[in-house]
Amino acid sequence: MQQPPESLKSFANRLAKAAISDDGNQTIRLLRLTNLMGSPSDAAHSSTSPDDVGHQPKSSANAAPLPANRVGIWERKEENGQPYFVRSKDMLKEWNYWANIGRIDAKGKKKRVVFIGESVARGYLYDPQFNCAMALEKILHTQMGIDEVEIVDLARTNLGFEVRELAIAALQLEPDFVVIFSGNNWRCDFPPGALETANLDAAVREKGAAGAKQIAECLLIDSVKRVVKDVASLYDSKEVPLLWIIPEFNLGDWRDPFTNAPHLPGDANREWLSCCQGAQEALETGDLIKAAELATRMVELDHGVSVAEFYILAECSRKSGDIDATRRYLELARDSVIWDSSKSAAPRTYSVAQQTLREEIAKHKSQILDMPKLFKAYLQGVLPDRRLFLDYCHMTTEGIQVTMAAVASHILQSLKHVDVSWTELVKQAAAPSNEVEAEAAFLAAVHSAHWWQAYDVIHYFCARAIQFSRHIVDVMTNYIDLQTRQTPMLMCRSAELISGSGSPLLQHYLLRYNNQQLDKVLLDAIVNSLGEVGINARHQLDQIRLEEHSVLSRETNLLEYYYCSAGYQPQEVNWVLPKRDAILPPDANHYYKAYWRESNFAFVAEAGCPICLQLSCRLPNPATASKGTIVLQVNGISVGELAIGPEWEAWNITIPGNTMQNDLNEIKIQWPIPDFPGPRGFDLTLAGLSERNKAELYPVFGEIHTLTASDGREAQLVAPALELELSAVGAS
Amino acid sequence: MPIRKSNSNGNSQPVAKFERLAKKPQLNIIGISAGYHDSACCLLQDGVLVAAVQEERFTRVKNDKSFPRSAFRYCLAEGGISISDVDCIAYYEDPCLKLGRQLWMGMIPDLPNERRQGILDRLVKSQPEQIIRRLFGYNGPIEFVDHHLSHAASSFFCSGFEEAAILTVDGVGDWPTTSYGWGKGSHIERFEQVDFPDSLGFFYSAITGYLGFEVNEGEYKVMGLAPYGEPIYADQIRNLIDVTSDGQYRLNMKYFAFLSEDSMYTQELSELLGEPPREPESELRQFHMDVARSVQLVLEEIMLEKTRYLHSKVPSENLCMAGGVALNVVANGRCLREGPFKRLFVQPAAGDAGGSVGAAAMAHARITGEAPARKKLEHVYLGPANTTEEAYNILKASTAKFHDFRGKEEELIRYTVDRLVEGKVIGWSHGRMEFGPRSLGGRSILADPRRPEMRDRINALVKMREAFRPFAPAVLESKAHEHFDLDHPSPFMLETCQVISPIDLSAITHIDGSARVQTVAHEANPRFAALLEEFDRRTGCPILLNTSFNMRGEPIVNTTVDAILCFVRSQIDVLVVEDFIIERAGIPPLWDLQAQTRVTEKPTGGEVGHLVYTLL
Repeated sequence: MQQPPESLKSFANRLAKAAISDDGNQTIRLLRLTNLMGSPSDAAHSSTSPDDVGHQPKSSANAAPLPANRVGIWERKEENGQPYFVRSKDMLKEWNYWANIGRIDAKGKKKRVVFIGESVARGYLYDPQFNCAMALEKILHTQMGIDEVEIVDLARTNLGFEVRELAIAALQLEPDFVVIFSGNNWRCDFPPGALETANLDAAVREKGAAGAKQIAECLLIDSVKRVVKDVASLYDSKEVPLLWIIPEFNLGDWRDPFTNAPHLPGDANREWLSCCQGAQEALETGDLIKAAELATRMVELDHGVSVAEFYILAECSRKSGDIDATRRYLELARDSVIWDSSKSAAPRTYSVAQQTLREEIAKHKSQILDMPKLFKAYLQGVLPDRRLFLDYCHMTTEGIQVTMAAVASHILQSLKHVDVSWTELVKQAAAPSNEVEAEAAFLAAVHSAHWWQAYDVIHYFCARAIQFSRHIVDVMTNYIDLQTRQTPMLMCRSAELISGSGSPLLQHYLLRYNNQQLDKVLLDAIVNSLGEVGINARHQLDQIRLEEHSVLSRETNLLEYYYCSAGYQPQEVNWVLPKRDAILPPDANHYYKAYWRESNFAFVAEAGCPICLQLSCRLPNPATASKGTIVLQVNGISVGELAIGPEWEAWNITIPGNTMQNDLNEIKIQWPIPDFPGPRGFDLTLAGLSERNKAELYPVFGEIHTLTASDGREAQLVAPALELELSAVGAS
Repeated sequence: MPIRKSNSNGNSQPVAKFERLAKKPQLNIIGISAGYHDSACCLLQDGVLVAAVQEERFTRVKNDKSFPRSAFRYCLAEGGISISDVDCIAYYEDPCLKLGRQLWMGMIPDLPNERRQGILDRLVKSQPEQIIRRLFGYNGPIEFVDHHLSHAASSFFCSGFEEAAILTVDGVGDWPTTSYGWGKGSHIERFEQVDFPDSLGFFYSAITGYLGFEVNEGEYKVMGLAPYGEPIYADQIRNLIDVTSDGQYRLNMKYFAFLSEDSMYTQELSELLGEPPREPESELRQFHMDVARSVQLVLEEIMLEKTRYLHSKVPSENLCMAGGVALNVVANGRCLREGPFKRLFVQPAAGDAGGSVGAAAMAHARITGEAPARKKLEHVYLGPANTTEEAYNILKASTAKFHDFRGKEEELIRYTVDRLVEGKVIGWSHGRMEFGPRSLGGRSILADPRRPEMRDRINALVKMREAFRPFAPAVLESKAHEHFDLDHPSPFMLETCQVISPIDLSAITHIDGSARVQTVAHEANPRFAALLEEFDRRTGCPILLNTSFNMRGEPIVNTTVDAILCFVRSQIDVLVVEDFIIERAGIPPLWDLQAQTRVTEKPTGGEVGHLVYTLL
């Protein structure tokens, strides 16, 4: 093997020294971004796993050749000269994501409807007990007879733009009609591929996050166009009828967590915050005009890249009775997160994807089922909400029934040439048992809570679950236990009891995908729902919490995911997400960053017992930040202030016992308003694009490296301390 | 300025007491190794090593190379300090030198484009300083200690020697692959080095890959396989390396592909040895054993020669060794027996993980002008400790059937010995975890070494590994000389010696009659020593088979939960975890599902490939 000359070693060292210098490194990164120095290799940038959503589609010209003998996880076999498909053992790890179909027989005399889609199509939280394909089949059987039509269910959880390959491969099944129910996982990677990073760099420098949003939308439009063109053209040429379902979103109930605006020019961040606070206060006092004015100003300042302003405007409109405006603002809120991958947004179909689907499909023979229109008609203008949705996009039985009735109407028209209104067909749809409904509702409560939804929605689903079937009571009480234990979930006795119920839904959705966390809101909702039917679970919860989590028994790290998640501040939790859900690279900041003026923490203690906090914190931007004062509140009571600076400082804080309460206690840290870096804040983000780091686009208010709580009785010098002057500002 | 908090009514409100903690008085130095293989973190407080752990033990990713963020937090907690108390972070490599070496590799004419792109990617990757600042939020001083100096310091400063010759040998770090030097007091000096691509580590690893084992992981398997063979290919293998004057040697690059391909060796190696490479997991034939024996012999010859050369330059009685090749205990033993040095100290974490310790020690010497604590490293129980309370909480929340021996250690020991005597395989987790690649009674799998079937049983049912690989014995230090040809303590399992025991110790005796011994003293691990004593009292044998508590392809267990889940997945008969004992019949049905969940979690990005050294 050839090797470079020895003489080049010192040259290489000099080159390395130049490259590693700040200027050299920056220059090289820019050259790399613009492809002037070779394009970054795919291997270096492949950070997403095959199960991640949001892959960009390959164009038809570039797509890898499709295996001619496979449809999804099903591979083609032959039996007596007849083709059939069975699940490939090579793809065993994938099976769980797909519809639970072991074998797809050769096509017979029945008309074959192939049903392609994502988790919505799978009937997430109902499947395998009930799903869209079952509902559709039941309707069609009432109209066409059991021997006349069959459904082949190809739905796959997390299906993104891979729907293109699947739809093309599905032609091997000789379908008479194909339904594509997809779009909630259509989102382009951000930061995008190497070719777009230079564009992104330029756009963000010029327009801030609004520039990033524009690019994300353009990329999404291009991707949707490619999918429709490739699939619809092929189906046109094969003359296979194809129905695209344009998904709807739970506009009525789903709320993304409030976040601060990203870096804005000048002093706009400060004004935005002020407007936000003012608008919320005005909303609370019923001054809708002022609230709307301030929210409109927020839009002017950040160009519509935050949910907060649109939720305020939507609430103003709702209170004013303007349903169309409410819908419009909620759609804008839904769409405002398209650019932001620094936090994990719930799946959704963005307006640009919906509109592009409408326009592109119209260029082909394909049919469209426009769910936003369908639901609007069904609900007579009312916003779609918990009645039709279990969460952001997955549907309730009613939602599934209505949608599948409309699908059936299209199919009947195409295969039987009869016009039957969906309003007639909806009565024919299948429904799951009450036990299944109860479990799905409870799972919806858990899922919603873990996506940071409000108590009202979570409580609704808990109460609804109990209404459907009392068997869920045992599940709930066991869930309280397993969720509160420090023992890993599946090692708990309570998990065994849940598993012993034999429910495939609980086994799959609860015991497989649940993360143990303090779950203040969810467990409160469960306890209260149980209380409403005369079951007292509060004592059980309090007792286990005290046994397992009391800071009086052991020092507790409040930055652990279990406790940190109870602050209900999702951006602040990203750095400690369990490995399964991690969205940040392993070399991202491994300490707490406050992205809002306040940071909330929870811990378990006892009334009357003082506790001791160990806090290491600092103000952000060490290069520029000056001193500031943070305010500490315990259970809503201000207990003192301390002055901190841009260097890490460690504090020992003894909280008096008379501010403590039994069970959960809350600490709030109020940070000073920082010196916002403005567009300079984007610099680090853009520098990181060459490594495809997640974008850090938001101002930081404060940083915490350590926050623990422990028994403060030994540390308390004087008891009671209230009459003494023990607090100090900037004590040192 | 003291203040009184008042509410709007003028009443006093509860106030907290705020005490700003002064910086801890000790000199706190964090050492870090990362980015290549076995990333690790340690804390040196006033020169005393108080904590050290590999990141893989937390992430459960074998050989995890990602920056040690969990290990860092553990070290702070163990040292009772916060981030503001850290005086210095020491990094185990010189990033600039390493980048220079990588760029040089990119200058090969006709380098495949993919490879070239990979090298260009290195230019835009964050450098260690940027990562340290970003990951830990650390703004203080960072000391960079070049790779082989870190290795040298990790050995010399832990050896307890006032002065010693130092030999470091590994695959590659920045430029050097072998270095020669000496240490005295706080000073380490190197006078000669061999630079990349000539590397004894790569020489051995190329044959490791050729024999179908994982590169940078399976070298110890080659060492274990060697006694089954004859060195009939030694002459051919000598063609791979040209041993030149002084400390130098050169690889014959026509047999090595690592500069431009994802393979360690070229087709010419197959032609030289007359057989194609062995497919991983395929049958091991006599040919493979002979090749293993041959490469081991050649390595030993070279090591011996270079050791003699080093002694000619540094005529000390003491030799310190570190670097991945220093984990070849058979070669080390020969260097000591046949070489000119009287005493040998090998850093227990001789691989890159130990570089963190060396970097921190070197930083201490630079900052203070003094050597870190002059005491010899007495034990490597430097990782996290589990507590009885944690274990009890886990068990009581489950339906597991377990024996509770809290406050009854003697009974626990007797019960465990009963099971050992019955021929049971024991998972043993107690106290602080070991730092480095060896389990030494903190996280161990234990068995009766007198049972001939035990080696096959543990290999097949627990470790799921090749049958030829020997297991190591742990023996009471006071009785070691009665059973092994060993006249000094060997607490780190870093030496081989002949078994001279009157007892048939077939499970721990290698085919050549040797064993890799760990001597156990009460002072280092009282409970483990008590177990050996009780086993000796019952059987007349003060020895236990001791192997690492992990499944194949997984890191050694760390937490109580790790230990339980490994127990569940394996065929270990009995788990002793802190003060509790569980037997297989006591395992609840759902625990298996939890164990499976653990192994199917998504990758972290810290995984290490084993086709070739990750030279980039």
